[in-house]
Amino acid sequence: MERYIKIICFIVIGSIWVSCKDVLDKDPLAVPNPENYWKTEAEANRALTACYAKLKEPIISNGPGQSGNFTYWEALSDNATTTSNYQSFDVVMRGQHNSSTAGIVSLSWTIGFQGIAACNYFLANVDRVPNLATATKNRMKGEALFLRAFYYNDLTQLYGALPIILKPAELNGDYTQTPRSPKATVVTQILKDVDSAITWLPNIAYTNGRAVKGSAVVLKTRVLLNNQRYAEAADVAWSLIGDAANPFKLHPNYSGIFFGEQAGNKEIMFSVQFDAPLDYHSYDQIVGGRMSVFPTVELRNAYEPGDPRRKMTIFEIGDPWAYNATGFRALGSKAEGSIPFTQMAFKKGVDTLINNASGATLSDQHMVKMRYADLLLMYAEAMVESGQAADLRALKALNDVRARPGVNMPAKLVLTRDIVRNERRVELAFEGLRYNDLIRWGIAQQVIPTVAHNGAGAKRVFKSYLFPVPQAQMDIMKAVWEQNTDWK
Amino acid sequence: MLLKFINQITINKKITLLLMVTILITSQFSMATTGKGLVLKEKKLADIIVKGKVSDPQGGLPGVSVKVEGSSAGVTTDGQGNYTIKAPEDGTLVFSFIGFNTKRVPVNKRSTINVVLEAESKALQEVVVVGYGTQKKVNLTGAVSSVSGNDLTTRNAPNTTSLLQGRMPGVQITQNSGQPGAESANIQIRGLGSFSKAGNDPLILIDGVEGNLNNLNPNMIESISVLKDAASASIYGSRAANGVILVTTKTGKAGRLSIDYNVNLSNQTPTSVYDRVTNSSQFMELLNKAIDHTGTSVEQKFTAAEIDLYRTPSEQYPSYDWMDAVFRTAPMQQHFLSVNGGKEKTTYNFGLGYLDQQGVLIATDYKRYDAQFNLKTNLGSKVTFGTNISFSSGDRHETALNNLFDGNTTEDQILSALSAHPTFKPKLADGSGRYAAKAFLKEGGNKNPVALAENGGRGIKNYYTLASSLINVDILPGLKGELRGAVKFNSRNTNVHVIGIPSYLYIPGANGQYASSSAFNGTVGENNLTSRREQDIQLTYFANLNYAKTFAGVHNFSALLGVSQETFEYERLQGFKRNAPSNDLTELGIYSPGGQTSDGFSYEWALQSLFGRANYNYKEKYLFETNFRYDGSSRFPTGNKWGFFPSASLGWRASEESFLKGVKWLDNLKARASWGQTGNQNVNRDILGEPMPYPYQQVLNPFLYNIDGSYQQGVTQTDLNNRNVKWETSTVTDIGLDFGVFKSKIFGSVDWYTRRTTDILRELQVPNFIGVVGPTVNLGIMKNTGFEFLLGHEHRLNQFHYRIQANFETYKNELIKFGAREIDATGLIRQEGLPYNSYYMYVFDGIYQNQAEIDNGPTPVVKPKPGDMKYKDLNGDGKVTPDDRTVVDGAFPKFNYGFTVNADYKNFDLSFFLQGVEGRKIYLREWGVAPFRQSSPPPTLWLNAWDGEGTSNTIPHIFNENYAPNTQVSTWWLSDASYLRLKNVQLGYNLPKQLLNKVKIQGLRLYLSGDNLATFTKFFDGVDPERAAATGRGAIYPQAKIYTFGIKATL
Repeated sequence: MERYIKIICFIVIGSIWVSCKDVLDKDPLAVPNPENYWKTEAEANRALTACYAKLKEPIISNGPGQSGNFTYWEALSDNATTTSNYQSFDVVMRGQHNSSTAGIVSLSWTIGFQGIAACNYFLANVDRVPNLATATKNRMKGEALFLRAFYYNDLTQLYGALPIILKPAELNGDYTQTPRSPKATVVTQILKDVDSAITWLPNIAYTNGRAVKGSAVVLKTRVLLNNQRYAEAADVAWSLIGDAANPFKLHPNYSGIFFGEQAGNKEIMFSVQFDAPLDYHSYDQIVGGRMSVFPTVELRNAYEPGDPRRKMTIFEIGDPWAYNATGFRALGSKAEGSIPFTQMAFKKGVDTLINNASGATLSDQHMVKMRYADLLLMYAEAMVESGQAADLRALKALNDVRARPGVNMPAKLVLTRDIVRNERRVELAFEGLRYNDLIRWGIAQQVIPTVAHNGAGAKRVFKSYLFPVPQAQMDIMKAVWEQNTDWK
Repeated sequence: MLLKFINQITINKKITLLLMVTILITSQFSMATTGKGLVLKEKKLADIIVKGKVSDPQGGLPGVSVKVEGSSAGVTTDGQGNYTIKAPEDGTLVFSFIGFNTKRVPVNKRSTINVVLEAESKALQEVVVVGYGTQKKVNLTGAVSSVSGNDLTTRNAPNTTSLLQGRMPGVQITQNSGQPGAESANIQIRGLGSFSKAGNDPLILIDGVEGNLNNLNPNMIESISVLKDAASASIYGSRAANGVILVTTKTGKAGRLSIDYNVNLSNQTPTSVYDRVTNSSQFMELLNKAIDHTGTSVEQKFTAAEIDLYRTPSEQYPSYDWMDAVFRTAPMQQHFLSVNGGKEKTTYNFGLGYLDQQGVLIATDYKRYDAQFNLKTNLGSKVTFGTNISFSSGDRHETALNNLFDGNTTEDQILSALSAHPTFKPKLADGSGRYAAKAFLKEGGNKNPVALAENGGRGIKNYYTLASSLINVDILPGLKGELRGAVKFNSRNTNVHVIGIPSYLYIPGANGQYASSSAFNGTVGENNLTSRREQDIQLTYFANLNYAKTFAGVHNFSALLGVSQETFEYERLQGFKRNAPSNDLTELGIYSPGGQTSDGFSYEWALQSLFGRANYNYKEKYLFETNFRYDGSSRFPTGNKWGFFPSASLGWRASEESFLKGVKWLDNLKARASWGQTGNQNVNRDILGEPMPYPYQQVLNPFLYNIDGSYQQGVTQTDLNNRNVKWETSTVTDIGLDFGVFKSKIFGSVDWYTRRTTDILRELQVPNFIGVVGPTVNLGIMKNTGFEFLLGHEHRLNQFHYRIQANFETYKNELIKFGAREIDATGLIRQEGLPYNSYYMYVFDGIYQNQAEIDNGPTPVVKPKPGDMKYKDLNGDGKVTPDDRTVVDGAFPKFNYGFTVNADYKNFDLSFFLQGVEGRKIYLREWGVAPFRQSSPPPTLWLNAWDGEGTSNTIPHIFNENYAPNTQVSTWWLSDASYLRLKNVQLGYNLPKQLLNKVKIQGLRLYLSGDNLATFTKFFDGVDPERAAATGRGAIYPQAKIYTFGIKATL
């Protein structure tokens, strides 16, 4: 019997030993703790990378396995139509959305503010890093401020008045009392961030995904144009265009900007970069194979006769096409989708050699968000709108874009609003800019209802210049916020 | 005071203290056994040898315990019922045996004592397993339901969770899939207790330690108890808020060795097959009609010539039903061998099981091997050692999907089949074996589900071990100690193998060649493989002291005090590579390194606890019990780690009162009342995109981005952290009544309960503009109030015996405190005062018959045409807006019920088991219900669609997919999912003993059984109404109708 007693005592003593360890103190093993973070430049750099990472959201750029991407914004304009229900772009396209619509109406809000939060977290903590050289720190801050302004500009264009959030969220912050600041106040804040970015970012060519001074200049010009501050916009654009040290210039091959000639391309001023097979997206599948978003007849008709950019942007019946030796046509196609009812598909940015429409194309074209031709045309527009159309610098900016090798469109002799706007449309078609252009020009309610959204010719409905604030957000903030006018 | 004191000392000291007490007591015990004890010595002086036979009216009874009263010395009777024991000549022998009334016989110097035992009234003597012990059912004061393993295994579902369905009131099982090995049955006890991030899953304990029900062979189950109220469950404290399921596995029985062998051979077919238009020309005309109405995808219209090709079906122009391609009649076999026995002090039970099940959906199958070994041995008369070891190995297969490691591939396979047109078959008509994608290039659709089934796939191997050892010590008379240590080890290897599959147009071109069409699952010629290795290990240790004593013959007292500790660790490692030289390699080795990725993480949690119970009853008439548990969890920050969960319950066995003793027909009448609190700590938070047990710790989350020419990991703050999180608490009050009348011919129970969950662990609602997710907080109150009924009738008429049992339960869920209302795009609302996730949608109001009706009615939400759905303008403002959505009932069932009949006559027996849900509605708006969702052929209900003024006011004009006027979230898509299902019918025959004796077999039973034979429902045609919360898609793996032939042999 004593043997058993000993065994029991042994187990009892053993269990006391087991329970002596601090078993109830457990911490995450796989991710860093912010308290111990911010020790080195490399750590700061990772926090800055996270500010960029929101650009990876497919509605801002593109992603793997997605059935849509940022070019779907074109379907909200008169340039394109979508047959996919991706993120409810189609619902907005038809004008059937409301504050409860899922997808793009609420996603834009959420993603934009997540990007801003990452920037705020970086900006609030970067000063904790010991021995970080001032020049490096300022350059990094410049990038974060550029990104915060970028996200805020997209948001205020879509939703108007916004809460201004410049610090990381805190547990005890009384957010339900935060008001929406009027758009003008938001814009003031955006410009403040952009100005710091312009000061701190290097005046070099854009290469590796990091914003440079030129990116910030494009952004500032965009913001000013969006808010009808044309003279200032012209000045800002000219500050780079007219700068002898301007590292940007037009690329000699129009289609190469979007596919094939992106590395070291002097025209690209900001983009979201990819690198297959690790980091890829579904552009060739969605745009080239499924043809889920495709050109409208209105876009095709916007090209001047003989404009080679039309063929570089759009597949039309009979065009050479990898899916069929006899050209772009419905019969005998190997493409995943059927030929759209407009009998056209987008070619811009598509790898025209791919003839296997599937999700495994491992596409890695960089998604171009800013380029020099856009800056030139914004300059031309700002000059026209500020009454300086006669300034030859403005006309030259437009004609430079038309004179690109391979485009070689005859020079315009005078600069008018219509000429600038149409040039913008065809030069920048399918780059996700047209919807914002129609909004800032205030012509969306005239243009949109003339465009069909299906093969039967049903016309779109234009509901409002602003999106509604997502209903879920209004439900939380209803005590202090008012819904946008058209959505009350 | 006590609490304050406990709080002041650390847990380590507390455990130490308790164990010191244990040591103290054991050392005293050791003194007593080394010869200094007085009592034992005196009794030994006058011992004589007593022999005899114990029998019942049928003959000798083996295995009866014979003990000398007042001593723990005892023997058991042999195979013929004979015994020999040493006893004091003036002592008393106690004969006890399960199922018989215990008998006390004074020795009176006799050397031969023969005894006849009387079978006890079962209902009164039934013992149920409760937390850390057992209790006579009649003495229970809490709400505990139990079911025996034998009852469970009358059904042949291979999954233990599914077997519990409909067996006990208050235990709701929803099986969301019929996929072998992945039935994903969901268990809820007494409704949805919480909307917590900590979940609603009950705690499942197998032989006292946390285990997995799905890895346990149902044949090894002795009994299952479900602790439903807080009074019974609070001894499990912080993990008991959603109820506790206690599973006891079969132990060996002393006596002769018995070898049991069961075999089931089954045939399975789907319970429901989607009902669609499968005539090609009819389908083509309907699609044209839909496109004409909707105006979308006009390029997909069929020409008259194309339709004419299909008028007379042929191999090239078929009218093919794709359900024939994906569903099949599938065999299943189950074998179970158990060796069970024991000699003297040692008993054992060894079980070995094998399951081989093919799924009714192609490419799905599951194999499971399991083994369980239970051993118990007495060392001397005071110490028992035991061990329970179970092992199982599962191997499951299904299809794979590119880039979707965890994706629901069976749903994808079914919806692909639903999307396929009848105009083509899975493979080309030329017999080349090449896969077809569609007949005409312009047609829509999804993947070819047969191509996916035949190329690559997902394989999941699971190895599971649950092993525990225990020591029980009779320290002093009445005082017992128990130590148990257990290891649960689980490892899961998943390989997802994706192959790019070429496909062709089913109709050859003018040159007789088949044009290639889209590729399925990636680029043709490429393949990729993801391998994931996961393992988790859970260590459980507990020790308790249990004291029971009867004072003055009427005061029955018992108490329990224990400590426990649990730790858990999970690890994952994963790798991905592309492009092996051939398509049949399922290990990463030779795949190309270009684009390879790897990933991994781990997490851990721990719990420490102190628990106790005191039980008192007076003459088994007035019953009282109190429990407590004091739990510490690693999930909460210092200062909030520990939580205290008390409970108390009372019982009154009125039938024991003298004034009711005279009422002959009343056998048992007991009233119960209980109150208690339980906790929920099982809260996780998303880190690295995975739920991890760190709700309060600060973390930075990673984001990949391509910058400076390489793909880099960035990190940032993505949520707020709250260092004040603590337990979520459920407070349950239960009042119940148990009764048995006419010699327990009629028996039953009624329970009323209210369960209020407070401090609900959830993510704080924050406005999205702060850019990060809200912290985990304790906020919110939810209430469930319900009734449960159990009614049974048992009767024996000569050789005919039957038993009927019905259970019924109803409850009401209410969200008392939540915050701002939340509305989902799938038509669910969370708002204070309503049941959680109530339906919230437009109300369907008939069909617009003509343009005038549209023009004169309220402005519609989306511009309709005649034939489209009309929605009610509830606020009467002349337009239909999101404000006209309203709350619609049906989120929770009105009631659940189950009904069992068992009957036997001579050697035959027959049983029925029905289970049903009433008043639940399910919202479905996609595959399986809607016409042309991703081009899918319409369900046949659309043949009765509106087709001109006055033709229908219930089914709108047929339309192409996503047509906004008809696809608003409305009540049209909400269908009554009430059902009554004949879950099982079984007819058995036991071969006569005389016959078996000749071949030396103890028992042989043959039976025929049918599962899920009939379903009565008003749900959408062809869609299984038994499913978890709606995803909007009708495509789920249907449950199987199973026909089984079985043999049960006892050697």
